[in-house]
Amino acid sequence: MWIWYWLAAISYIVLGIWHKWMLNWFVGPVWLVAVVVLGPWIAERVSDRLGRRPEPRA
Amino acid sequence: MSWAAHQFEVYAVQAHLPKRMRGKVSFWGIFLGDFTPDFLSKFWVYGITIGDTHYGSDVPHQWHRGWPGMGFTHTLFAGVVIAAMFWLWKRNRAFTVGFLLGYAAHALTDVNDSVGTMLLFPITTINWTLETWAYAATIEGGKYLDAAAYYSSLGLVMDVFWLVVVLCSWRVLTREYWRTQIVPADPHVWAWFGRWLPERGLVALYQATFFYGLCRLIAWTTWAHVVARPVIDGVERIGYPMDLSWTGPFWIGARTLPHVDLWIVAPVTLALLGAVYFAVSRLWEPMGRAEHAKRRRDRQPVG
Repeated sequence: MWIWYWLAAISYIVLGIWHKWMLNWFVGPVWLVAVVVLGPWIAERVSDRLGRRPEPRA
Repeated sequence: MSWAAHQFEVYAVQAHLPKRMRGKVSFWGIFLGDFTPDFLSKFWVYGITIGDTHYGSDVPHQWHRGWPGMGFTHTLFAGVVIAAMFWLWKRNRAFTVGFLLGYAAHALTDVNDSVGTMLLFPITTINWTLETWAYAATIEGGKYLDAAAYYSSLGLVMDVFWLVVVLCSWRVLTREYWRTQIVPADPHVWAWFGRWLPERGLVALYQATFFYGLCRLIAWTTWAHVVARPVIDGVERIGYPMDLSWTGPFWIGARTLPHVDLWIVAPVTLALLGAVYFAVSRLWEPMGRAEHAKRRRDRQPVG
């Protein structure tokens, strides 16, 4: 899970420096929860799709 | 005012609860208690500008911390009144005690800036301040200048201090701590969030205030000292000058209100913090009995 926390922190800090409206008590917590919940979910589906081999032809 | 310190102190309070209260004080109570003073007062400090018209307070520091103004929101008296009202309404010890501790943490730490808080309101409306750094919220400068001043002064040290306090109690941020200490004190709230979020999301939600505090500390400090190009005394600089002297930074005029002598502030603030913990400790068992009695009454069939 650490990778998702790092990703959330780095992306939020970088975006926050240039878009300071994001640095508020609502966006910050939602950002972390969204990345930690949606990140693994998306990664799982992407890896499932990439890992799925074509059915062998009969 | 303090910035990320208010996010970190939520976890610091949680980690330093008296032994018999561990696992029984609501995290959301502490969070909301710490959050409420600024929620009630800060929106009008910076205000908003639509077109050429600025809507907000004429004197931000008077509005935020003074009387007349919304300064009463940053007092122990307001914390006690709101907590008492909630107690009378719900008889929920976990939330009431958490709220009061969070509220007290906010009101007491804000004595550090040059405006301070009305610690003994309503007995007296004089402010109590340690003048550690300059209160810098102004109509002209808005949030940006306020942030730049804070993160160029001992305010930055204050944020880092609270960060270190939390990191010294790092277990408070772990999943194990959340499972064993946080959820049991607030089972209904976490069950409600659990209808939409998996466990990893619930843990992240618990850690989110710390995350936000750490990220805003880094983002604002980086912006103030690396990205910003302020013009000070007619000279454009790369970043705002850092000044860790008392009541710094030098490049902004510290706002202030009539206040008591500096030297009595620290002992009185610590005494009030001790008084809050003492009162909460003394009330803990009677509140528990009252809560159980109410639950028994509620369970009894009517008629």
